Amino acid sequence: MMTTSSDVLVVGGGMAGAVAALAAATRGRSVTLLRKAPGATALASGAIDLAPMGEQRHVTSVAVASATAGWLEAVASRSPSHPYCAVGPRGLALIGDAADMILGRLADAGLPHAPFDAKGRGHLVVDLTGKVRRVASAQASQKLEETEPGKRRIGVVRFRRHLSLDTGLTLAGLRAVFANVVPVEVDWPDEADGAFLLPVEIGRRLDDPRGRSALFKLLRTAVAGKRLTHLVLPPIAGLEHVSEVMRAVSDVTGTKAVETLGGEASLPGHRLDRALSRALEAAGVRLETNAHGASDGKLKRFPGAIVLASGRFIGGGLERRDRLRETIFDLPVDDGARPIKDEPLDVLTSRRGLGAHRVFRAGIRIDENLRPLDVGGKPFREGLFAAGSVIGGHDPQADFSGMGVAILTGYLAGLRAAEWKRS
Amino acid sequence: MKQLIRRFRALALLGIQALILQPIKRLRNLKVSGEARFLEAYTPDRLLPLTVEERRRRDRFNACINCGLCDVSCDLLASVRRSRLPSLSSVAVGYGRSMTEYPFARLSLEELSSCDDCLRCEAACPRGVPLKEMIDDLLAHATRLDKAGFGMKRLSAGSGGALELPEKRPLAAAGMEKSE
Repeated sequence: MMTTSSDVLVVGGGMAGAVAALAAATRGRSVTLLRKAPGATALASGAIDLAPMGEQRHVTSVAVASATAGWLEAVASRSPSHPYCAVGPRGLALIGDAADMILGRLADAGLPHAPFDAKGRGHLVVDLTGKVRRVASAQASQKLEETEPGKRRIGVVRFRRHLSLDTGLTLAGLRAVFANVVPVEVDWPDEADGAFLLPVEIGRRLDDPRGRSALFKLLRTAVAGKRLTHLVLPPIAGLEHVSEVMRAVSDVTGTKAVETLGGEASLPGHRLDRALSRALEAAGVRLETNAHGASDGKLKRFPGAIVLASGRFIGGGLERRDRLRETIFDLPVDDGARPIKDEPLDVLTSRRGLGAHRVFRAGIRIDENLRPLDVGGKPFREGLFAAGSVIGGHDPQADFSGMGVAILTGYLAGLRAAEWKRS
Repeated sequence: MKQLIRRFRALALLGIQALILQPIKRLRNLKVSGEARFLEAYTPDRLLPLTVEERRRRDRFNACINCGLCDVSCDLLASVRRSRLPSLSSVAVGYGRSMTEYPFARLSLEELSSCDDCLRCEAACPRGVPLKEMIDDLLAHATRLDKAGFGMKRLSAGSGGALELPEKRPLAAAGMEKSE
């Protein structure tokens, strides 16, 4: 493995690993990032959630501003096992720096985001089911522009011929929140098998100016006479050139165009994944992709600092075969309160779908300096730091804090790894 | 008294069956291999015997979580008939778990005949599903089923390329034929 020449080795190429690598590289360290394959970050919706911030009916009320103030601290105090808590108040205070750093790098890599807003009202986004909620940031194409409620008239684009991009749900959901919501139906994509195209394929098509023309022609006709202020698209607006696509859609239709958050086979997730790779390359991070089998002995003998950002069940950082284990160092796993070993899955899950599933909070434990802990609660190994969802004690989805944890712990772990010297 | 005789007769019959008839049947069956008997009994249900190694491989096919990341990596997908093969991940999800679906898999996989083994799909898979191996394996099994006469057969010309499965014989009937 040629990695031995680097100061810092990051294991995992999702949001947490990328932030850690960038933070360490910023401090002048040489960094290598091992990456198996795209992980959970490539499936992300595009929203940068830090914690739950108001949704649905509340979005138009003035009370949101005061209700969301201090929510970050509230999450930390409500669940003491949460990584926001584990890193301590001084660590948590750096979340703004961390987010500004990564969102800046993503913008440089061609994926602009709405400015990070953790303390204010955040930004409005719409998901595929038409649910409107506030997030700390999201891809710029996903930010719903706020206008006076009375003047808002929203069109929802529906591809009549497409099988999976039927935005009927989006329409129904938006109607529960806003008064003037109308469908904008277009017969597209119009080729024989167009109904089966994946979101990413449609995105690639729209990246090409010639590819856009057919859709734009249809859109222009479809919105005519509807006097729309906003146009909501499914999450398909370009894989690489999202800004151009959104600008063009807005120009053609005379509206403020917005994409919904990504769903299954998320195009915004792919965009993010690609932009992170570009940002890493631009920062001079050495990328070793397709690094399956990173758990072998060579990794354990690496002399420099290691950041473990290997994710959970999708990334491969955790695995459950007979027992639940952390795959690289075999670190002890718990749910933030109790150790998890070989309990059967029905003990680790709740019967209620939206209940508290212990297995979804599973991960390793860390101390304030992001060092993974062994069974006795002592740092497992010198120079080893952890970031992202491999850290337990939080449910990335249910807590609405997955991206926030990845960004914060990635940043802190990257800084600690950069500072670390073998004693 | 009558009841006692009846009970004795029943026990005697059971004894004869257990001690004489059953061992004779066993001996006769020894001539036919276990595999042949398995095939006879289960191919009508489109099930084939698997070696231990083949079963182990299936565990890896089953690791698919339908994330769709392989689809994004595949250039070939743009040129296939999508009504037959909507996506690569649909192969793993639709067929990787159920052998009885293999004859249908053949139809989808024919669309991948010009695959040049770039293996980018496997590199993109977060779960390490060996897609190429899976596709080869599914095709091999579909062929085996074809040979056994229980695969998918095309209807003759004029049907517009519609496909049909041969009628499934009831398992019991298949067993009866054997012993006659």
